[in-house]
Parts: sequence; C-alpha cells; structure tokens
Amino acid sequence: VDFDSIPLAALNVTVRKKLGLYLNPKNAVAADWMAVAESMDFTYLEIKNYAASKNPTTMVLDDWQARSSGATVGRLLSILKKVERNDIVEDLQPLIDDNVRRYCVNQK
Amino acid sequence: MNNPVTSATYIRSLSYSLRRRLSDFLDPQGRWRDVIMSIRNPGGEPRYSQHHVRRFEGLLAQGCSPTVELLNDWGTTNSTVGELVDILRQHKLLAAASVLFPGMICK
Repeated sequence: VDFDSIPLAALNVTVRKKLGLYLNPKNAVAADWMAVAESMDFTYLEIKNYAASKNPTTMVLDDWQARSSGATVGRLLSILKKVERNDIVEDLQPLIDDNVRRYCVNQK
Repeated sequence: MNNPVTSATYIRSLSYSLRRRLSDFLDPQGRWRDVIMSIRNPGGEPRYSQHHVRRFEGLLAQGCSPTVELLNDWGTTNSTVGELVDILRQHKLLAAASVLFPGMICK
C-alpha cells in the first residue's frame, strides 16, 4: 500500500493517544509535538496556543487533518523521521500498519 | 520492570527508579557534563552542542535533574544501555554503571 494515499483519518484513537504519549512531553533538544506541528506548517502563534491544551498532540493531528489535503499517514511518518523520532516510528509501526490495513478493508 | 536490563535495552525503556538512581550518581559535581559531551550521533558527530548543554544547565536552575532530562532527550533516539555504559566506563563512572549492571566486574 502507498501510505501517502492513506488519509490521517485512518488512524484510530489508540494510535493518536500513543503518539501523544511520545510527543506531549517537552524535550530540551529532541523533537516534541512543537517540532512536529512546525513541520505541518502551523505558525508560531498557533503552536503557542496549542501549548495551553492538555493533549496538544491530538489537537494538532485533528487540525492538520481538517485543514490540509496533504495530511496522510505517509506524510506523518516522514515528518517523524525528519525530526529524528525513530523511537516512535519503531514502536508504533505495527499499530499504524494494522490501522491502515483495516482502513483499506473498510474502503472496499 | 520485570525485564532485566541488558546492553540491548533501549534507554527510553528504563524505569523511573533506575533513572533516579543514575541521577544520584551523575548530577553531583556536574558529572552529567562528561556524559553529554561524549554522546554521538550515528554519523559520529557530537549530538549536543555547547548551547544544548546550557539548556540543560537552565533546567538544573529550575530544580530539574539534568541527568533525568538528558536520559529523556537522548532516549528519543533508539539509544541503548550498552552505549550509555560504554560512556560511563570511558569516564570511570563505574558506580553509575553498576546501577545498570549490578554484577558488573569493575576493573
């Protein structure tokens, strides 16, 4: 399957919660949700406002999905790789693969 | 943690109590600075710059443990306990290393 053709809507609540688990805590140097949001073209002010949220990662994912036609599972994975969060890619890949498989079955 | 710690264990999988005990050994006298400067990216270049080290010093001023923050940060890569122990050995920080491997023979 071409992950770039799978919309972010394919990802279920479990994956989104887990993404938050990895990305919500702020890091001194390593990329957190802010770096990911910036890669999704959110502005500084938008990111500042998300910071007041309890779970900024899920908010960012919801808004990205609503506003951008480029919000695909493949794009999310390439952003995570670009900001060097290979821990997330490694830990969540099986879960994401499973979500994509279900999405494809439901589309048929 | 039920699983024993080995060289292949990811740093991000270390338990809260192990992190606390490492910080007991690495926070005093800025020993964490020796560790942070020895951390390298897969390409071989240092992962943390002088500016990055100052950010950790800023966290120390806020009452955070620089060791715990460093383990959080470095843990976001697929870094392993083996890599950390190599660095600890290099700087003769054997007490800290023995937190991870209690049975380690110290030479």
